[in-house]
Parts: sequence; C-alpha cells; structure tokens
Amino acid sequence: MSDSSRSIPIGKLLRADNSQFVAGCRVRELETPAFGSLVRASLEDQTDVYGLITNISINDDGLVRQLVSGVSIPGEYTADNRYNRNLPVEIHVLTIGFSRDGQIHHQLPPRPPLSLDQLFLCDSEEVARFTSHGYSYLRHILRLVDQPVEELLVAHLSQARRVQDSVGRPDWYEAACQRLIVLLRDDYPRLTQVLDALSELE
Amino acid sequence: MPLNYAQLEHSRGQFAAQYAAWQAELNNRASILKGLFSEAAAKPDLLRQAIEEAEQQLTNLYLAKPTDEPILTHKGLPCTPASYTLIAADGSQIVPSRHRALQFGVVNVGLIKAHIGSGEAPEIRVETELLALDQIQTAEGTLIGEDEVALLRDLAERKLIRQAVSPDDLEPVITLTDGPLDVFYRSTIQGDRGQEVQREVFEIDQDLRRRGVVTAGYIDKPGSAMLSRMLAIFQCKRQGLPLESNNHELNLSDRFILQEILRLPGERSAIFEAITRSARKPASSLPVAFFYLNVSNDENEPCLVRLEFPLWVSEVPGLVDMLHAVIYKEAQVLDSHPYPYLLHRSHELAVVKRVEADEIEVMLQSQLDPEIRLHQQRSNKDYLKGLS
Repeated sequence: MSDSSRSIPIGKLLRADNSQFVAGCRVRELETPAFGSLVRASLEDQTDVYGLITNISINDDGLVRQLVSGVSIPGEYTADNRYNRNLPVEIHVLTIGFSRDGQIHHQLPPRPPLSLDQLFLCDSEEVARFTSHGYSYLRHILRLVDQPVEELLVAHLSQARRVQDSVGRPDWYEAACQRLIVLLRDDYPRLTQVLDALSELE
Repeated sequence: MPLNYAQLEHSRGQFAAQYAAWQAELNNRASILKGLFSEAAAKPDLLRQAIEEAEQQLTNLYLAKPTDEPILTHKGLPCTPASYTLIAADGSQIVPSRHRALQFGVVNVGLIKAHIGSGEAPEIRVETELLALDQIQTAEGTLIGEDEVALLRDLAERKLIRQAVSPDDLEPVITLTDGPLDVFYRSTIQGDRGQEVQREVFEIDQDLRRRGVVTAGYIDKPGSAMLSRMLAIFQCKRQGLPLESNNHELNLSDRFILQEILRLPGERSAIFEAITRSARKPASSLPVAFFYLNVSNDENEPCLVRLEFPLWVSEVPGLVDMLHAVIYKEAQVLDSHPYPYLLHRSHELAVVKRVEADEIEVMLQSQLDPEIRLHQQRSNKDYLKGLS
C-alpha cells in the first residue's frame, strides 16, 4: 500500500465500478487535480486503485441557475456558492491498474473502491513507479468512447515523460509512443489523430 | 390515491366565477380605501388624533400609525454604503408528535453573515437544539404545539444573531429575519412560558440597540391590513362614530392600497409605527416601525414587501435610508424573484427534512435502554402513511 502521508487528498469517492469511478471535492480542493493526472484510491484491504482524471465537472442547482441569470452578484455571494454550499465538484477517473503487496498490475482491480474512500493525487515517485511497469495500461485509455482520448494521452504522457526524464529514463516517452503505434496499427485514422495530438509534446 | 379530476373539472368553473366576484369585491374595497387614504393624507392632524384616541380607548388593536412623514410619501432608492455587515438567520423545527415512537422536539437555526465589500465568503453557522422534555410538555402534560415550538425557534434565531454580532464586523450591521419583528403575535401561547420568551427577546432587542445593530424583519407578499385598520379608525372619527378598527368591508392587504403609489422599482412608502394593543402583549416590548418597499425591478410589475425595524432606527438620521438601500440591493441578487439572498440561504441552512427528523429519532432511540426502547412504538397510522 502506498504511503498516503506524502500524497495530496483531493476528494472522496461518490460512486464507482471496476473500470471507472467518480469522486467529489470542494472547490477549495480543486487547485491540485488536473485533467490527465494520475490518482489513487486506497482500499481497506491494502489495495491501491490507480486511475487517470478524465473529466472534472462542476454541478449546479436551482439557486445557482437563478443567480446565473442575475444582473449583479456581489463577490461575497459568488464565494458563498463556491466555498460554503454543498455542491461538490465531480472528478471522473478512468481505472488503469492497481497495486497489492507492493506489486503494480495494469489490469482492472478485483473490486472497485467504496463510497467515501479517499482519493489522492499521486506524487512524482508514484507516477514513476506506476509508469515504469510497462505500457499495457494504455489500452484502458484507448478503450474510451465519446471522450477526448487524444487530449487525455497528451496530458498523461506529458506528466509521465517529465517524471521519467527526471529519474534518468529519457527513452521512456519514445517507447510509449511506439507502444501506441502498435496498439493502433489497425485503426489508421485514430492513430493519425493520436500522433497529431502528441506532436504538441515534441 | 389519485385525485378525482372529474370532480375537480366539474367544480372549477364555479370556482372561477366565485374568484372573479371576490376579486371584484377586493377591487371595490381597494378603490374605497385609496380614496380614504388620500383624504387621510389631506387631514393628517385628524388622522393622528383618531389613532391616538383609538390607542386610549381600544384594548385590541393592530394598525399603522403615521410618523412625521406624510402618508403618501414614496421615496426613491438611496445610495448603498460601500461596506456593511448583513446577518440573516432563519429557523426550522421538528414539532413533537405523539405518532412518533419518541416524543421529541428540535429547533434548528441557520445563520449566515456576510461582510459586504470584503470580497470574502460569508460565515455560516447551524445550531441544532434538542428540546428538553419539560420544554416539549405543557403544564397539563400534553405535548406543545406548532406555535410554542415556533416561539422557541424565534428565540433561538435571536440568540444566535446576538452571538454572531462581533466588534470586528464592518459597520453598519444589519440583521434580517423572516416575518414580523415581534414574537408575541403567536396567538395560542399563554402563561409564564410565553412571557419568559418574550422577556428574553426584549432583552436581546435592547442589547442589539445598545450596540447600534439594525434588526429588520422581512415580510414577503404581506397580507396584513394595518393601513386598512388605520383608515377604518379615520373613517369612524370623520363620521363621528365610535372608533372601531375591524371593519370587514374595509379589510384589505396594505399592498393593494400602496401598489399604485410605489410604482417605481426601489421606492419605499412612508414610515409607519406598528401599534399593537393586546392582552397578550408584554409590558416591555420593542416599539416597531415599518415601511413598504417595491423590490421589483420592473416598473409594470410592482412587488411590495413590508420591512419592519425598531422605531428607534427611524429616529437616527440616515439609518432608514441605509436599510432601504441595503434590502433592495439584497433582494436584487435574486432579481427574477426578488428576495434577500442571505435570508434564502439561512433558510436553506436551517430547513429540516422528514428524512433528517427520522434520522434524529433513530439516533435518540439508540441511546435508550433496550427495555425502554421496546415500549416506544410509532403509531400504526404514521407507519402506514410512510408506506405510500
């Protein structure tokens, strides 16, 4: 199980299944999580479930909709709605692997995290550890439907490349791209889109 | 069981006809009252004399008394101060019910305090009080009702407001509660208990006055006929009849009398003193004044509310203007349905839902000795209602 004391808690689980989960957080906690970041939910049975943030959504309610149509809202009341009212920001996470007894697996976990389990943002060391264990987790990303897969790959590979460069593995990113080419070899249009998006990292 | 729509279909035509006749009657009353209002405005001394005589003669009275301002006054919106503190509190309650497994009562108060001009998020507080068993039982041993719990809720609101006011608050400090400022109007409360609460409320009022805090009660869609009763007294005086304020033919909500006078958004009426004579009124109570305010932002759709405040506020130059501007601005935050934002938020913080009441009951039951718990049964009627 990972050392939670070094990780940043960013929310708590609202709902989950084996392949994805959703956590809620307050707006104040929203400064750290970012689209594509690697996150972890720690289960009571010592399993850590890893995932990538695929979406961050801001909820509304009747009062917010009423305020939106208002002519002038004092800054204090904007702050009230953001920080005081019980409208959690939802963080959607794609499950890409898990770890148990210190061993990283790029398969889906045996069971999903439970509601109110805490979600942590992985630090550089954890990102390095998870991504050093091969590239097979990329298949989970490519399986996504109706979501900005290319953008997610750019965000994740950018983070992982930075971390791997810092631990002396400058060839990691190129190998990841090679792996993507293999995985998408039968889907030329999509491969083109992915490579086009990744060209931003060059 | 669904409604019998066929039956409703049959009745709705008759309802519409009755409603139209009633509206015509109200329009007729409004027309008479507007005429009387103009006459009273032209004879301010006679009006004042009539009201003062009524105060001397009648023991049961609830009406408006003019102050120094002419009664036809309609005053435009003053400038809002750049910074101030606005505190709103609202409460909700669980009324003890013999149908529940446990007889208990809860008062829940939500308070929100904003330092307008600071840019900071308002502070919020929720205070939940489980009423003691001797609080939820009358001297006869029966359970207290809605009015008694509401009185305790009103007191809890005032107490929390007093606690929330701090020397660090940006001045001026305004507090806002929903409904009339006085609490003794709750009609069914008798005896020492009611008087004790009223005494405490009066002490809080006095304390807030010493600290210069402007307390206000906001009455949305007001139904009271304080001006109508004032005019009924005026009419009696003018006709040389014995003074009587309860004239059914002149009974009409004040807002129908004033809505043509307060046409422009943000306009307020003259300030009136609320005169109350009642056997239940405590000897020491806060003299209250009020004005009507058009909180609409559309000239064609006036929306009149009544704002009550302590009479002393009207005697301090500038305070009524400040209150007028602040409350209008506050109501404009929710401009398509003007209502003070913080008052709505305090209600949102305070409201207790049925499911929460049930959770409290389970929590209380878990603390009981199993032997006692065994004998605390929910009524069958309440159980079966919960099934539907």
